Amino acid sequence: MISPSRLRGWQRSLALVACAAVLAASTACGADAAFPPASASVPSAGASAPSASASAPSASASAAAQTVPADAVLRNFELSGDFVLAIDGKEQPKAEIYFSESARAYVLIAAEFPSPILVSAPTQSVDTIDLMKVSKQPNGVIDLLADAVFEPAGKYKVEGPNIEFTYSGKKLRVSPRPYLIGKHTGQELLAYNPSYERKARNYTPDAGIMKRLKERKEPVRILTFFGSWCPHCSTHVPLLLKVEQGLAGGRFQFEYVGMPKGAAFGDVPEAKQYKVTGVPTAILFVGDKEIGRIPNAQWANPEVALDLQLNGPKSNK
Amino acid sequence: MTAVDSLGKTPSETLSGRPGSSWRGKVGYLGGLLLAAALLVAAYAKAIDPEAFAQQIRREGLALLGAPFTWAVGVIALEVGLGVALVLNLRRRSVLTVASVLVALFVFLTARTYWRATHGGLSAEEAASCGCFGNLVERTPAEAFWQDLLMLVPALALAWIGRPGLQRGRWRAVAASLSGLAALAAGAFAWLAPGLPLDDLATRLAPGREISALCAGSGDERICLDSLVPGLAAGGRWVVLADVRAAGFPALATALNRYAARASTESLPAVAVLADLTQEEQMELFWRLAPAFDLHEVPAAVLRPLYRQLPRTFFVEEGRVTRTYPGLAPEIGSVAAPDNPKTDDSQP
Repeated sequence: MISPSRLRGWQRSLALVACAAVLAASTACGADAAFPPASASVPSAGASAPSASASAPSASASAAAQTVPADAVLRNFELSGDFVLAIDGKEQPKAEIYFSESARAYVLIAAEFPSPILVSAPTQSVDTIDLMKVSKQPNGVIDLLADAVFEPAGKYKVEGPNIEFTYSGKKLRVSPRPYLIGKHTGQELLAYNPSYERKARNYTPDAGIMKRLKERKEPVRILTFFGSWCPHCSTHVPLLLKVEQGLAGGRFQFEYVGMPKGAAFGDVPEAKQYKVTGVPTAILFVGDKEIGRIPNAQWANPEVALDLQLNGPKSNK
Repeated sequence: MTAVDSLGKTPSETLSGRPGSSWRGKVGYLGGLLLAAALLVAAYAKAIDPEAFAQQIRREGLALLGAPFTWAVGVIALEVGLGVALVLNLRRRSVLTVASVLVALFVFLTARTYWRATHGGLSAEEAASCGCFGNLVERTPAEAFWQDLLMLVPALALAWIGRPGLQRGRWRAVAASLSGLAALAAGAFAWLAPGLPLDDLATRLAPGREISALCAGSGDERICLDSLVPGLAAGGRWVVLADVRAAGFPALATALNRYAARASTESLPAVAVLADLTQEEQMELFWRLAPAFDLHEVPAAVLRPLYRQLPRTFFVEEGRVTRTYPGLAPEIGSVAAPDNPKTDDSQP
């Protein structure tokens, strides 16, 4: 989702490009000082051509975006929930951070900066990109266009899982998103990390089993302990979130408890109460009675695990 | 009628150390054999991977003096020496006393691990290496304790019965010499074992093994490699077990990046790295090394029984291990060689 401030940024950039077209991209668009000229480009492997639109910009940037293909490598940036951006020590909750696995790079979009920032791990470098060279797909994925040009903004410094760099006189820090701790709903989990939503969307529970579960008359409560820091939880809990979505309106109540990492894990009262020693752990209750847990081996298909616990092994034959 | 001396021993016992016909001698010898079998099997399991045993000694805080590896080799030699002595019916008080101390130590350690497992405070790695059978045998803390208790203690108790007290000096000398030689040979073997090609024997990872059978834990908490890395279940790919904290990992990652770059453009199998690492470490590695390969976190409990030394590589096809290599597989190494003109880890 593009925020209103982002839209304003896009509009401003569009106006600037139009301005450049009229004035032959020379001097008059002084407001564009933060944007380097196209000649300062650092082309990527897949974006080697100088920016045609920057040197002879079209009046219609969107039309140009439609004709120029996406970069062969710098594409498929998906909204990421792994990191948060801070500028001069102040966290930017509305900043959007996109990640491309093939490019091994992140694109940062913050209202404070008119240009998106490309943070590339293979070169440990930071570049800015002309916003008009960023194309957003209907599914929210963004690509950099093949003719995108890059303005170097230096190298980043690694400090544990964080990186720091300076851009436009401001100190930027990209750090892991704080853990999700305490009781949460499935919706809150989906909102916490966009990758949960993507993984949930890509999972298709068994239709027959879901139908059987939905027909259940007796209420069931499913209490799931997870760690937002735990890779296996990130893989498997979204599948349960999808099952929860499929069982909406039925007799199932889902609750999630985000666990801290390390020694504090054992201090969580619910974890003590239910003797939870690892995550993810999903406990099924009928009334107040625990009737079973999803075994580690069955997290790949949580609806099957639920059905086995509630209806027994015969139901799956 | 067979002559029996005042201690219940037949002449055959006194000459050769054989158990003879006395039921006490036979029962005692049987106990000794059972104990010997347990000690020899345990020594074998540890001798082919003495590093793992040394790590266990370090974790248990038993290496008070000297290097844990030296202690590990010493204990392995002692177990073999005792085992051979018991097979030869050299059930002298000194032999059985040392065996008793060793058994008591094993039972104490497994009991302590079991207690910690049931009362919290046991790391996954500790839980993964339960008891005295190295990484070959998968046992939970409870299984390790009860098996050691029920297997070793009764055998030891029986071994004290009907000891052949009147063995002649020559037989004792021969048996003691053989035991000593066996202990020395076992110690030498264990010392050299890390450099010998024994990975497939010493670990649970060997050609023919199913990925779904490489597991740790029990009950609801049992976790297997196929669920941790679902991508291994289908197709063919290289898997490298690695220590991301090792000084050599950046070089390994660079080589794997070169391989991955070429694999993505040619029809080469993909490569994945399995390591025991935290999410923070994974993030740091991303920023520093930009891995172009899949990097998966696998708990130590699952990972540790799969290797003696890291890195170790295997090829998996349709969920089954087909080849294993110490270090990096030559097929990857040749593709990833810096002088290979086709390799290119160019930037996006």
